Amino acid sequence: MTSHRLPPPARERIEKLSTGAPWSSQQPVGQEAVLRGLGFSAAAVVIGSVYSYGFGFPRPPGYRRAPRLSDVPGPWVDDPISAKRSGAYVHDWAVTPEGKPTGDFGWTWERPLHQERQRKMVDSAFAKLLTEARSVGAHGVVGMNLAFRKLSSNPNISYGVYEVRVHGTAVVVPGLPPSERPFTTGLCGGELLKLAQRGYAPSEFVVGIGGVRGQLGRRTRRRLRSFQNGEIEQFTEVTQMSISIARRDLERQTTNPGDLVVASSPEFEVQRELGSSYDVTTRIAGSIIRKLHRYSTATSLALTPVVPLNDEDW
Amino acid sequence: VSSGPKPNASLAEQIVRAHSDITPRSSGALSTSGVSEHGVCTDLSVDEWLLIDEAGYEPCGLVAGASVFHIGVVGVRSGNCEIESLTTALLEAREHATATLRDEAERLGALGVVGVRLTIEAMGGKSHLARVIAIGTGIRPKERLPDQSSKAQPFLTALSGQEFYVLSKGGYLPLALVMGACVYHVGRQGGPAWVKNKFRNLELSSYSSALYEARELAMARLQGEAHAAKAQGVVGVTTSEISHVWGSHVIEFFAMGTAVRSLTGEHRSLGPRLALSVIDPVVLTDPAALIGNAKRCNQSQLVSETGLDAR
Repeated sequence: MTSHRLPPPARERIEKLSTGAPWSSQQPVGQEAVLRGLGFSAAAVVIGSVYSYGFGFPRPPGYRRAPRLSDVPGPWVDDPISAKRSGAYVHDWAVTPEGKPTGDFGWTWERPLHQERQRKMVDSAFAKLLTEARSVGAHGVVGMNLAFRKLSSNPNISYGVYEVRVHGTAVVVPGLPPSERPFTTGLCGGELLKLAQRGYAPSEFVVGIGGVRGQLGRRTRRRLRSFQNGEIEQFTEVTQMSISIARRDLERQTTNPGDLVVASSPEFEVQRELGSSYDVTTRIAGSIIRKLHRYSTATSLALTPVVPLNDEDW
Repeated sequence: VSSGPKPNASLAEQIVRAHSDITPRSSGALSTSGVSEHGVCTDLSVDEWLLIDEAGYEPCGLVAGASVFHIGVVGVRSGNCEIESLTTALLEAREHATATLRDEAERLGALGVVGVRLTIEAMGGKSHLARVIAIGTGIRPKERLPDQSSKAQPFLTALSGQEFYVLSKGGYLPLALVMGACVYHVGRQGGPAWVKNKFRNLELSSYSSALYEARELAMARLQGEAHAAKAQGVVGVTTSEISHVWGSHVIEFFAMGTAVRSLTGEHRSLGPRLALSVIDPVVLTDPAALIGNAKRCNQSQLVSETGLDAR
C-alpha cells in the first residue's frame, strides 16, 4: 500500500491532534478501558474513503485463462475445443461422454480485471487510512470496518460508481518509537486481550474478493423457462466459485500456515446483464492473527460456567 | 522497533513488536503460490475460536455451499393447503447447499462444521429463483480421536462455538443439522363471512387451524430427520415464518436444529454458577452497512438486528 496525500481537512484534523486536541476512539467505553489495560492509548479515529467509476466489459482481452479455476473445487472439465478458443472452463454436463461439447454449454470464468479494480479501490482506501494513522504516530489500528457500496440506479449492470470506506481507531503504545507499518485489525479491545493472553497477536485487516461470470448456456435458459422445480446448476456453480475464490484470496494474504483469518460473513453482489450473463462478486473481510512466538507464553483459559441473571430477549 | 522484547514488556508492546518482525507480503494479495503454505480462514469469533480450541479442536477452514433453485409453476390455490411443490423446492435447495458444504468440509478433513448459517433469499425479488447459501467453519480434533473413522461424514451443526463447547463438555456429540419445512396457503375469508364476522369477537378458526397445521407439519419433518439420524434429541431448534415474495397468504414455516447423541449415556453437569453481568451491549455502528468485524463486539445484537443469520 502506498502513502497517500491527505485532503486539507484531514491534514488539519491530524495536525490539531499534535497540538493537544483531544483524542478520539470508536471503541465503546468498556473496550477502550481494556485497550488501556493492555498498554495502548487511543490516538484518533482514522478514515479512508474512495469513490471510483469504471466499466466491466463483457469479455475484454486479458481475461485470465483457466489455471486459477483449477484451484476451485468442483466437477470442472477442460473442454478440448472451447478451452483452446477462450481459456474458459465448461461444466461436465456440457460435454458428451466422449468429451465433445454438446452445444448446451455455458461459459463460466473468473473476472480478474473486475477483481483487480475492486482490489485497487480497497487498497486505496486502506492507504488513506494508514496515512492518517502514521501521521498520528500509530502503532496499530483496531476495530476496523469496511463498507463497500455501489451507487448505481441499476443494480443489474456491472459498471458504475462504487464507494469504499474504511475506518478504525488508531492506537499508540506510549514510549515506543512510531511504527512505519502499524498493525490493522477489525477486532476490539476485549478480543485483543483474550488473544494476547492465549499467545496470539493481530496482524492485518484483509479483504478477499472473488468475481465470477457465467454466460448462460442453453440448458440454463431452458431451466429458467421450465414449469418444473430444478436447480440452476450454472448459477450455483458461479456462486460457489465466487465464494471459493474470495476465500482463497483471503488465505493467500496470510504469510505462514499457522495464521488464522477471523472473517466476517461474505457479502454478495449479483448482477444479470441483458439476461445473457450471471455475475457474482463475493467480498469477505477478515483479520489475520498469528502466534506471539518469541514474546509470550500462552495461558490456558480458566473457565467458570455461569448462568447470567440478566434478562435477555429470546 | 524490532530490537527485541524487554523482559517486562506490556502485552501492547509485544503485539507491536511481533507485527514489526513479520516480513511484509512480497507478492501482493493475488499471489498464485500454493494454498498449503497459507493460513486458514474461519468465520468463528475470537471467543468461539478460543472455546473450540479449549475443547480440543482446531478450525481447518471456512466452508460454504450454494444453491440457486428455479421454482416451477405453482397452481392457483383457494383453501387451506400445503403447497408441496414449494416445500420440496425450498427444502431441496437447502439440502443441495448443505451437501456442498459437507463435501467441502470432507475435502478439508474436518470432523464437523460448527456455526452453520443458512440464508435463503429470492434473487432480485423474483419468486421463481431462490438462492441458498450455507456457511460455517470446519473443525477437526487437535489430536486424532481413537474412534474417529476416516469414512464418517462430517457432522453439521448450527450451534455457535460457545454452544458446541458446552455440548461437548456435557458429554454430547452433534450428529447432523436437521430441518423441517412447510409452505402453506392460508385460505382467504369469503366476503359473506367477512361481513358476518366484522363486528364480532371470535376465533378465526380457519386461520388458526391452517397456521397450526403448517407448524406441526414442519416440526414433524424435523423430528423425522432426527429420528433417521438416530439422535437422542435436538438442541438449538429455531423456527421462522417467512412469506418470502409470495404475499401474506403463503407462508413458509421452517424449523432447524442440531440432532445430538450422548457419548457416555449420561449427562455430565458443568456445575454452573449464577452471575450478574454489569455490561450492557453497545452497537458500534450501523451493522447492515458494514462487512467488517463490528459484530465481534456484540454478535448477538447484530444478528438480531440484521435478521440474516439463522444461527
